[in-house]
Amino acid sequence: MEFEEFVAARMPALLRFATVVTGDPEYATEVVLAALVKAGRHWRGIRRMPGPEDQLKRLIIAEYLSWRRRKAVRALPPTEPPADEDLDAELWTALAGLAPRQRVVLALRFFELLGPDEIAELLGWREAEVRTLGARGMAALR
Amino acid sequence: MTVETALRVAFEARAERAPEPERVLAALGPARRRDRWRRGVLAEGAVVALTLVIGVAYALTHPPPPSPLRGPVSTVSIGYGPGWLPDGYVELRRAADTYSSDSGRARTWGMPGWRLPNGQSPQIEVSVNGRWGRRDGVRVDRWSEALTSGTGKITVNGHPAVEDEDYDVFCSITWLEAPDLILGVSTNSVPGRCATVLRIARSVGPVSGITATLPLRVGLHGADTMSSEVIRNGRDCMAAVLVAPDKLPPLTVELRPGGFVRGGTPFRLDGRSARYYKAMMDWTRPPYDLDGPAVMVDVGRHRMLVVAGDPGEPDTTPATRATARETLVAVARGATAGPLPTCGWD
Repeated sequence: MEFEEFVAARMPALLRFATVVTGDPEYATEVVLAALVKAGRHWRGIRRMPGPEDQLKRLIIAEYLSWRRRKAVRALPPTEPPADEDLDAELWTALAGLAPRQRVVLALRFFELLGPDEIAELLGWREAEVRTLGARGMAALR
Repeated sequence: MTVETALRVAFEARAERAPEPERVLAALGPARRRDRWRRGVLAEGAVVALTLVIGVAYALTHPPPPSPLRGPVSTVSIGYGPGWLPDGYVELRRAADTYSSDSGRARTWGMPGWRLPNGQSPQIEVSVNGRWGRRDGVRVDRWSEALTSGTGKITVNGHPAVEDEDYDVFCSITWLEAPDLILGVSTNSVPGRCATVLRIARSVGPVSGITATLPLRVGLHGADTMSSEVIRNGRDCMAAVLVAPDKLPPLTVELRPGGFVRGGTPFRLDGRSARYYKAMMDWTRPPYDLDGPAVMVDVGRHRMLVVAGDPGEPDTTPATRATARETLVAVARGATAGPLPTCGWD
């Protein structure tokens, strides 16, 4: 599949994923654009790998975790929380207080519905590390 | 509702707020073009190839202009330094712009081996720059740029300054010390953020005897920037020159201890052992974009010379080429290296 075809087909899913990871639609745009620019640069190699979309998700997470691009994290919680979603606003306030890697693990666990072993494989982290990050994140939210 | 269920609901609701794909798709093309521009590719197709050939031939046949560097080992005075830093930091890097007349200089401190829960390692940088520089062949006013990007105007010891605290772990303060002189302090993941930066900035003043000793020289003429640095990398100390040649993809030249990276095609370069790597992936080094082609040369006395090029973008339209092996070899042949640096600043 050519890069342009892939992007056209998977852009909505990538944006949804990035919005959940970052919590902010504008920041998600910035992160996805940066990840796609890098992916386009190395597309010949990426398309040969199993699951190009996973490679893109890795790039999105790497961009999010990169300190140079984390300026919008402070925008959490959402700037316009709907009045009838107090729980949502409260939850995002709590999420904003988590370490970025904890937020990443929780997003993959509860949005992508991946298990700790799958998250570890996707991110190249140790499974024990993923479990610890997830447990600490959940403990903080509780 | 359990926290797990609440998270699923909240994440799904947040995903519904994702930006319109069409808007992001429309922005992708310009973003990729900016990236290619930044990476030094200014023309298309055959014009790119022709530019590369002409540019390399020009760069390799014309003598370099007068430069602060004289001989393989050069010593550049940093000129300014902090009078105060938080406890526990050690110096990791000294750098100097060795091509442009304004001679930007910088020192970086960190806490090796210490990482925050977010995976970041605290760092502090103090920089000294001329107000005027060049980028992509165009003259830039660094003070105007700082004013544009800053998030707040302050003063440092009575000088006009701008603060940039847009990042949640990052803060920088840049000030106009003199009409043609810009000083800056920036930190990443340092406790106290901008309050700490301001305290460091207020302590910065002229210093003598603080120098960067740079043992590596690259004989490539025609660069917008050519920054030389000595940097502590784990237990090792290495020298690097970052070059952004005009109309050519960027290059990194390094002098470091050790041996060849695994793989590559062996060859001889002026009687020395060398290897060519079509794509070198070596993440043990500082965070340069080094996934492109490279040439390593054993220059003796436990020293390795590394010339790393640009990977190119063969699948884009227009396609761009990876740095040619001949270019890497020519740059390696034109480089001169002194003794390995020691990073013995402390």
